Amino acid sequence: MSEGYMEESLHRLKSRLPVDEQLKKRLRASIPGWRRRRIIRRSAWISAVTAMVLMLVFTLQYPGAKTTVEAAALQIRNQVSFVDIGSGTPLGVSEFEGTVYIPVEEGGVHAYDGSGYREVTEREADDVKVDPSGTKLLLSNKGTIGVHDLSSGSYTELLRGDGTALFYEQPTWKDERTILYVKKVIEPRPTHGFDVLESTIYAMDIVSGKAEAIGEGAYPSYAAGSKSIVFQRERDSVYQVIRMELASGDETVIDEGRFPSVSQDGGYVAYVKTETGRRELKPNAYVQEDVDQMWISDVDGRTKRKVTENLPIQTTIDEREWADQLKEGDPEQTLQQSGLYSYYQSSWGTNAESLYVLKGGNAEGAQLRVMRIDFAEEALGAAETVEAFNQARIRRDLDFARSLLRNDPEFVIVSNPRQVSYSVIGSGEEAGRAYVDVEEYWSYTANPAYSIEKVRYYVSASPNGFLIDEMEKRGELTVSERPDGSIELQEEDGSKRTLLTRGDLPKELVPQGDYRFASLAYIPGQNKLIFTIQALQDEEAGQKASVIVASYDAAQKTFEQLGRIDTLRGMNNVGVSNMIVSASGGYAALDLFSDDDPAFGSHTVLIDLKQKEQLSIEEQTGETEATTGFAYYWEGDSLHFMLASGEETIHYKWDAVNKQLHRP
Amino acid sequence: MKQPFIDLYDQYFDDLYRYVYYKVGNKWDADDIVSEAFRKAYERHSTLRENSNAKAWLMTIARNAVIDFYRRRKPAVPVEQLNELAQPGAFEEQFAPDDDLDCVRKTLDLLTQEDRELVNLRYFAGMKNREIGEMLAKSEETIKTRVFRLLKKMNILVTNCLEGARKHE
Repeated sequence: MSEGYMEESLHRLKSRLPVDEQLKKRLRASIPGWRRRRIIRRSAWISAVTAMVLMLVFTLQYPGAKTTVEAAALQIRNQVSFVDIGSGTPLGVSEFEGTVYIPVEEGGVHAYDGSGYREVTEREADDVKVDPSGTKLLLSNKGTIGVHDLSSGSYTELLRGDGTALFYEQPTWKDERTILYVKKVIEPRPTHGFDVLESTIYAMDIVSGKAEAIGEGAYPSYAAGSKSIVFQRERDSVYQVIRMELASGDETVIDEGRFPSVSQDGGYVAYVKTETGRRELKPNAYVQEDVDQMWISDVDGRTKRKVTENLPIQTTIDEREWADQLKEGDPEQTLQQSGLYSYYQSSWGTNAESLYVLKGGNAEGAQLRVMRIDFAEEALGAAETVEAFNQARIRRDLDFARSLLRNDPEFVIVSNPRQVSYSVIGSGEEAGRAYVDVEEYWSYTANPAYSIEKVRYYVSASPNGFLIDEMEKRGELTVSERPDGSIELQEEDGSKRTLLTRGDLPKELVPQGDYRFASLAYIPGQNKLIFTIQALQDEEAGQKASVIVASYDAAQKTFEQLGRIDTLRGMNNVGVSNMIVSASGGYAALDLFSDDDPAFGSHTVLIDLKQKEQLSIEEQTGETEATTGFAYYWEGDSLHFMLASGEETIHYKWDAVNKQLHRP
Repeated sequence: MKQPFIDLYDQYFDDLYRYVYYKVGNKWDADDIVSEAFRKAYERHSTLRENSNAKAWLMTIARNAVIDFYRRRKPAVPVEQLNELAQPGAFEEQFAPDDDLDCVRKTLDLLTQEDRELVNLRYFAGMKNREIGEMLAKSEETIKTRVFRLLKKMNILVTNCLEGARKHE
C-alpha cells in the first residue's frame, strides 16, 4: 500500500460525501435577489400559488357539549415542539394539568411546566404515565413495571420480567387502582433478532396484585365511558387500532395504525398512521414513500381526521439520475423514502385539549422532540392562522407550518438573516379575497442588519379552518451598516438616508478603545433605533470587551443609554451575538457571551427599555445548570427562549409585562 | 480581473458543500451553513482583492460559518475545538461491509481533530497546499510536510484495519 493508494482512496471517499444539488440550484437562482440582503423564502411560492380560492362554507361554532364534538370537527389551534431530547430512542410523555413528565434515556424522569424543568426521579424509565389524580407515575423499564409516588418519592415494583425472554411493558392507568399492561414473551432467533411468542394485554389491581388477561395485542388504553379498551394488533403485517368491549369481548376495527392512545374522557383515540405511495419512474424503478401522520378518531370510529402534514424527506439522491442508472432488463429496484418526521407514542392532556407526541426527525442529526397539538371546537381565525404560521416557521415546525398552507410550496429556511418576530397589523378584503397584513422582523446574528417586511397573506376558509393561499411582499425597510461604519436606513420606497455615524455618538456612549456597532433594531412608528455598541478587547486602551445598549431618536437626534453589560456570570470580556426587540419597542433580549467562559455559553439578558432594568432570564427558570440559553422570538411582549442543559434543550416563554414564566 | 461571484459559486459549491457536510454530518445543517456562507461571501465579495486566492477566501468564510453554527447550536464545545470539528457520522451507513473504503473511513475517526481538518480541506474540499496554507496562516511547505506525514500515518492505520478485517473473514 502506498501514499498514492491512500490519496486515491480519499478521493473515492470524497465522492461518497453528498452534494445537495437541489440546494445548489435553488441558491443559485436566488443570488440575483441577494442585492437587497434577502433570502429565498417566499418568492418561489408566490408565483407557484394559483389565485383560485375555494370559498367553502365554514362554521366557526359547533353545537353540543365538548364530549359530543366529533373527532373530525376538532380544530387544531396550535402545534409546537418544545423539548429537544439530545439523544436516545423514543421514550415517553405524559401530562397532568400542565405538567409534562418525560423519561429521558439514562437520565431519569423529568417534569416540565411553568416552574421550569426538573428531575422527578433518577430511576431509569422507558415509559411514563401519570395517574388520573396526578399523584403517581407508572413507570416501565426493561420489562419491569412499578409505581413512583410523587409526594413521598417512594417506588413500588409491581411486575418484574426476566429481561431476556419475559417482559412486562406499555403500562397505562385504567383508573386510580387498576392498570393495563402487556406481557410479552420472546424467543431469540439463532443468529439475530427474536420472535414474539406472546403479546397479551392484562388488567391488574395494583392493591391486591390480581391480574386478568384481556386479549392479544399491544399498546392498550382504557376508554372511560364506553367501558372498552383500545389497542394495537398486527395481522398479516398490517397494524390495526381495535376497540374491544370489556363486557362482551366484541371487537371493532377503528382504523389502520399504531401506538393508539385514548383521551382521559374516553372520547377520542390518537394514533400513528403511515401513508404509503408508490411511483413508477421507469418499468424497473420505483419510489416508495412511507410517511407517518398523526390521526385522531372518535373512539367508536365514527369520524376521523389527520392532524399533521408530514412531508417526504428530501434525500440527496436525484431520483431521475438513480433511475437512469438502471438498464433495461435489470431487476426491479425501489427507492425507499420516509417522512421528514416519524411520530411515536402519544398521550392526551388532562382535558383532551392537547395531544403530546414524540416526534423524531429523520434527517441525519435530527433530534427527538416532544410536540404538543392543541385542539378546540373553534378553528383558528384568519389572523390567528397567520400568527401560527409565523411562529411555526420561526420554530421550524415545518409539518405544522405546511398544514396551514393551501398549496405545497418548497421551504428554504436559512440561519441568517432569521425572523425574530412578527406583528399582525391589519386585515380586510381585497377583491373578495380575505387577507391579513403582517410585519415580519428579520435580524442578522451579531451584525448591525435589520429589516422589516410588510407581507400580505391571502387566506380562505376550509373545513378545518383558514388556510394561507398566497403571500405577497408589499414593502421592505432595512437598516444596515455601510462600509464606512455608518448606519443606513433604506425606506420602503427605496430612498436611503444615514441614520447614524460613529461621529454622532455622544461622548458618554463612546468606548475608550476600539469598538463597533453590533445587533440593532428599528421601530419605524417611533423613528427610533435601538442599537448595541460592542466595545472590543483593546489592551492598548486598557479596555475589556463590553456591550452598551442605547437608543437613538432619529427625529429629535437624541441618544439614551439603556443598559451596559460589563460582566456575565461574573466573567469579563462580554460580547453580544444577538439582540431582538419586541414589536412594541418595550423590551430587548440580548444573547451574550464571555470570551473568558471556557464553556463558551450564551446567556440571555432581558432589558426593559422604558425602566432600563436588566433581568437574567435563566435565573427565572431555576435552571441554574443551564450551559447555554438564547432568545428565540417575540410573541407580543412575551419572549420565547431556549435553555440547554446537558442534552436537553427546553423551550420557555417569558411574559415580560407580568414577569411570569410559562411553557409555550 | 476578479472572478464574478456567480463563477465562484459554480466552481466551488461542491467542494464547499462537502467540506461543510463532513463537518456537521447531516444535510439539514449543511444546507443552512452553506447558504449562510455563500450569502456572507456575496456580501463581502467587493472586499476580495484581485490577486488573492478566491477559494481560500471562500473556504475561510465557510469554516467561520461552521464555527458560528456551533457557537449557537453546540456552545458547550470548547473554543479550541470549534475550528476542528468534524463529524465521523458523515459517512455512516454508506458502505458495504467488504468495502475497503470502510477502513479508510474508520481510520479518519482515529485521527486528531487537526489532522481530520487537514484531510477535509485537502481531499474533500479539494484545496491545494498553498490554499490551505493561506487559510491556516502556514507556509505551503509546512502543509505539504503535514499532509505527507498524515498519509503515512493513515497508511499504517488502514493496513492494520484491513488485516484485522481479513482475520475475521
